[in-house]
Amino acid sequence: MAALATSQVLDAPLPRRRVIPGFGLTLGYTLVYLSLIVLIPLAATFLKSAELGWDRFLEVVTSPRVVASLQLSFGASFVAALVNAAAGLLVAWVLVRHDFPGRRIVDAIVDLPFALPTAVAGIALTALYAPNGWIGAWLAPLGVQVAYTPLGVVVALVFIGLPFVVRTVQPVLENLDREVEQAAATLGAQPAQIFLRVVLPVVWPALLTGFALAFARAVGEYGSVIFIAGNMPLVSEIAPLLIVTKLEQYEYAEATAIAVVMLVISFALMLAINALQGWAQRRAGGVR
Amino acid sequence: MSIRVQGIRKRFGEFVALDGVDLEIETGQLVALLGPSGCGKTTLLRVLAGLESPDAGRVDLHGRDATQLPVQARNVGFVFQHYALFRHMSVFDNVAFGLTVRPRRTRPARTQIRARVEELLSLVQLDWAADRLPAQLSGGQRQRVALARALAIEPAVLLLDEPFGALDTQVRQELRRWLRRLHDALHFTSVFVTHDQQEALEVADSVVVMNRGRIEQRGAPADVYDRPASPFVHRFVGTSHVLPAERTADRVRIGPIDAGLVPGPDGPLEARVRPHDLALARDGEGWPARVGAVRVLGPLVQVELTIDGVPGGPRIAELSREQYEATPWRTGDAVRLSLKRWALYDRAEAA
Repeated sequence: MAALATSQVLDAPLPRRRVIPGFGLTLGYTLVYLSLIVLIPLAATFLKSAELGWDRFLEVVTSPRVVASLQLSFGASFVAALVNAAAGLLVAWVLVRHDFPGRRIVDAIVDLPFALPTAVAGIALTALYAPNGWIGAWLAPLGVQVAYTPLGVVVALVFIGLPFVVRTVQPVLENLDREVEQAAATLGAQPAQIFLRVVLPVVWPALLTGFALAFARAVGEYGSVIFIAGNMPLVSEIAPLLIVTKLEQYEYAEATAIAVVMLVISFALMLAINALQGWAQRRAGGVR
Repeated sequence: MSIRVQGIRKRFGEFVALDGVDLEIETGQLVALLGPSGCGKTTLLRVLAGLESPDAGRVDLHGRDATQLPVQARNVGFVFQHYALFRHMSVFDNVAFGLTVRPRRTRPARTQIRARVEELLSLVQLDWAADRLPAQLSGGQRQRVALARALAIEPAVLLLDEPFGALDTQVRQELRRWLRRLHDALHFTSVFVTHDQQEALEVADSVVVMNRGRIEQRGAPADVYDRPASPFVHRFVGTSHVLPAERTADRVRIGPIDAGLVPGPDGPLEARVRPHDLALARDGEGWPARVGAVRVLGPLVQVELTIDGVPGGPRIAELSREQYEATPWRTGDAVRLSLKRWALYDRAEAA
């Protein structure tokens, strides 16, 4: 009887329905929100920089001081994000796979760089790594100077970027079935092989996301860096600081020109990382 | 002797998982570790594999002390309940994994690996799926991949942890018969863990019943079913009805039934009976009982019985279709209930 009823119903065309509700409303809100918060301010940046005219724009952004600062910003961010990817994976691993007293406290400490005012972090790091600081005093005899050099910039960027990697990798590691690693071990795989061939391919997309976030955050970082960098033009001056300097000299258009270059490079890099991540995700089996 | 285990103990905090286990498994046998959850069967299997290290005791594999041997060096195949396949690798790469991680001097050539994997995949009837990802296969197919992967390293023993537990009934039955045939064809030694007594009785050469970290009984499936060593085993390997019994001067009576001479101290006993060992008659010797619901289940007929003057819920007798058709009982009939076969246990032991 039920079968008869369904066969009749099946003949009638069904109205199209989306299962997830509110598509129109949420998409509309998303577009308005993104425009107000992100797109309009960024567009204003482009407009303002256009006041310079093409020749002057090129002149500004190719001046040695600007080029050096851009190189430092992106280079140091890249190195810091690499360091964070490695160290963050290790921290996440320890937090997920080992139970030890104080694990929750360590877990909470990971988030501190999020919460700490960046200036505080910068001053603290400077005090530690200055040639007379706790750590700097040990490094100085070895000929390593951290504070007031590009290395100091990297240290500050590593500090602020760490939570991004840990927090993106941690849930994936938690979801990674221990039995999969055990299966690999019973098949004769040594720990390094298990890590490289079983764990890393699965964690890879999340690790890339963490890397991208840490990198993006580092490119835009200002507060913590300016204290430890020493801000010597052509050596340890980051692009965001140069923008602020230009602003203080009322050279608004020139400041936006540098901002536009940073934006374009950042956007291109993020797109590239996203594409790489999508590819890695497909390779990792698609699920999750 | 393929596996010898002596005095294995293992605790997890306060919980005693294994409480002195001794076990020997001959080469070529297919052995089931059967027990309720928490009885230690999986822990014992993991100790054999080296995935868990025992607190005390000794594990010998093929006559060599393997207690301190790392997992990698034990050469055991392990199949997990939830397959534990490498989800980023194709079926082919999953099966090849154990061969490709070998150090260069013992690793087979690429063409040999390919040949071996293809052979295994056709053995598990998945040669068509070599390029698929595990996510694209059904549960039964995934478990077959896991089995092929474990067999690729030519393990000395194959250990299976509830291998069919995550599958639905039909696939499960198919796969366990198939495992039995595979075992008969390849003659490896295997141990599998299950909480499903039917699975254990159907597939294994030998069944090891475990309870609370100890082995209760070890024997052929028919022995374990027909001659359970303890009330626990009687209850666990099949349906078990309890009837009060009494011994005076070595003579045992189960209610009105004379159970013959069984030497021992006087006192109350309990008799345990399987549903198909209950016999019904219109009159004669036996308990007076009343027929409750009658259920015809294919070849079997279940008859609920309330025994006059004996506490406990209704007992269910299982009759064959022929028996039932010869004397079709109806709800409300008064019958005499007697026993075809029973097992006697001390009351204290049963508690």
